Amino acid sequence: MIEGFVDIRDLEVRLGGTVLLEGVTCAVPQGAFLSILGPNGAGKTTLIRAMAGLNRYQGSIRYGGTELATLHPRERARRVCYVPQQSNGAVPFRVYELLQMARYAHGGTWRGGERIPPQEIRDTLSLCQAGELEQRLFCELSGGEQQKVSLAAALVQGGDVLLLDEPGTFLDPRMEDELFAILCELRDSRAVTIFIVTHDINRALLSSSHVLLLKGGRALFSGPVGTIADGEALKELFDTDFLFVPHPETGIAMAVPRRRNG
Amino acid sequence: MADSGLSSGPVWRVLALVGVAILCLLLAPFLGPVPLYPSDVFQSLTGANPATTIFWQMRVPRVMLGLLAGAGLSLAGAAFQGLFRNALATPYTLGIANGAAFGAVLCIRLNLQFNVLGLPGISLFSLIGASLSVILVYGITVRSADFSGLTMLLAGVAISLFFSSLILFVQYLTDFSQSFEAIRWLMGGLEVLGYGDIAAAAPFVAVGGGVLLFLRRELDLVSVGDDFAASRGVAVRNTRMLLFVAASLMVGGVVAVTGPIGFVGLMVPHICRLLVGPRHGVLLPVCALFGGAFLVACDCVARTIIAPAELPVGVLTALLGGPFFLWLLLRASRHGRLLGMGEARW
Repeated sequence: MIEGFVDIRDLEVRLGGTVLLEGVTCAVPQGAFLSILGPNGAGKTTLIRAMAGLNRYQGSIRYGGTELATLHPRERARRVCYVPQQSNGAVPFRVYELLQMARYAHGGTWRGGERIPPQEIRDTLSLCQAGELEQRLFCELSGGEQQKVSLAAALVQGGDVLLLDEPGTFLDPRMEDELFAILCELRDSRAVTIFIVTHDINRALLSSSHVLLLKGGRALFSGPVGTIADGEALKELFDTDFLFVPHPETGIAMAVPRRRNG
Repeated sequence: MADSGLSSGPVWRVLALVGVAILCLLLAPFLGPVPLYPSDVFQSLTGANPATTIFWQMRVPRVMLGLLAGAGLSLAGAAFQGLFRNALATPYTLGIANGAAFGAVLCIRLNLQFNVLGLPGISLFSLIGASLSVILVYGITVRSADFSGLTMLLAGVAISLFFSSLILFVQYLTDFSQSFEAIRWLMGGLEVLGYGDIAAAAPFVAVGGGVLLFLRRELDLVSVGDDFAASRGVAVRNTRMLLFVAASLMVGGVVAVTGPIGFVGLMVPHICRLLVGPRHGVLLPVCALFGGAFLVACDCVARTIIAPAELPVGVLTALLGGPFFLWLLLRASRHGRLLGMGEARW
């Protein structure tokens, strides 16, 4: 078996006796864009949190051959960056201050954190269409604005693996488009490997190179995106019927729901 | 700290605060039931002038102890509020004060009168009580798989309640004069003679404060959220434990000498956060200085307001604490958040 850049083997996550993930195996090369799809409660967030080092796990999660559990939190933070679905509402900091903290893991142990040039912070915020939020308090931002800032913080933090948990939930269509453009740009220019939890099947089909279908804590399928386009896997995943129509530009099959009559 | 991200407004506020605090600390030794004048104190450096004796043996140690205690309690309060992301956290939330008080009350009941290295037995007993509560909270927390601060917070509250019932039990067994002595201790005060108590408390405050300042960035990140801190590379669990032990020892050292002076550790961090923002690199030093000056000022008022009698300073701070808290609540309901603590979380 070829070892991938991100290599997950027999991953198991338990929380107080409940098995949340079991036997999940998945490997992707560097620069892959993997979408994690699955119904509610399938373990998508658990998986991405385990990959971020926030859940204890059995089995193995390797980044470039290094086991995640053996990495010091600082080393981990220099390589892997995580964007949660929703941030803590009690954050007392301004957006600018929050971004200043992003590179805590960089620089020496005793200095604690690399100083980030103010211009870089402003540029990254502008890139995420959040330039005007710089001096606002994070806790007073809307859900979408918070997601933009979280993304900006992740971009400032850097690293070669980016983990995003439903980053598009609160975004308007323009910003969601922008988000995927930013992610694709990161993958192409910096070979960042991206794992994204999403409910948007068509986004996944259009933008990602790989998919991981999770159901009931187990991996139903994992591999290149092209192989799920027949729809059988999606039907099994969501227990629901889809119709497929070709995308007008690319010809890739898009899933559309069936019409329901009364 | 030129790179602390302070804009010019807070810089002036910090300077003004430092100025007021230093002025307050310089004036305080001259105020009291008997006002002293610099001319009396510094006139006869050779002779045993009563003013000189009062100044150097009573007033100056008292101001120094006030500075030490106010700084220690305010630093610990700021640390606990950040650590638990809770506006209501105080240095006493995790049961340290009740542990210390249990030790003190037990010492009074057993009628033990002894000194160890210049430290009175009651201070030693309360220090042991405080350490006991720290060890219990620590022991419970490390056994849980919970990475958040919730287990520690609940363990602290439970230990606190347990010790307060033990205090009641011992109090019931004491006679009238012992009971009065215990209640007087529980009010908290800064009455000192000489420098022995200060030498006893200073190492705790210095070491604890040093650890907190060293972990200022970690405290920033943890005060945002555990996940946020962890994904930025903080070893959240270890950091939380270290901060807890450092802040607790600091509180234990102070409470052992002064008794549990209330509300300073709750009020000062809120006021300072409002003035200089939530970054702990700035907030902690400002808290230490302002907290020290605040307690010294309170003590000046407490020892003159009903002269020739002296009010224990803990009574005054408690009197200020209630209205302050109501103001905090009203403000929070208007702004939807507690003085820069983000959303009001109860």
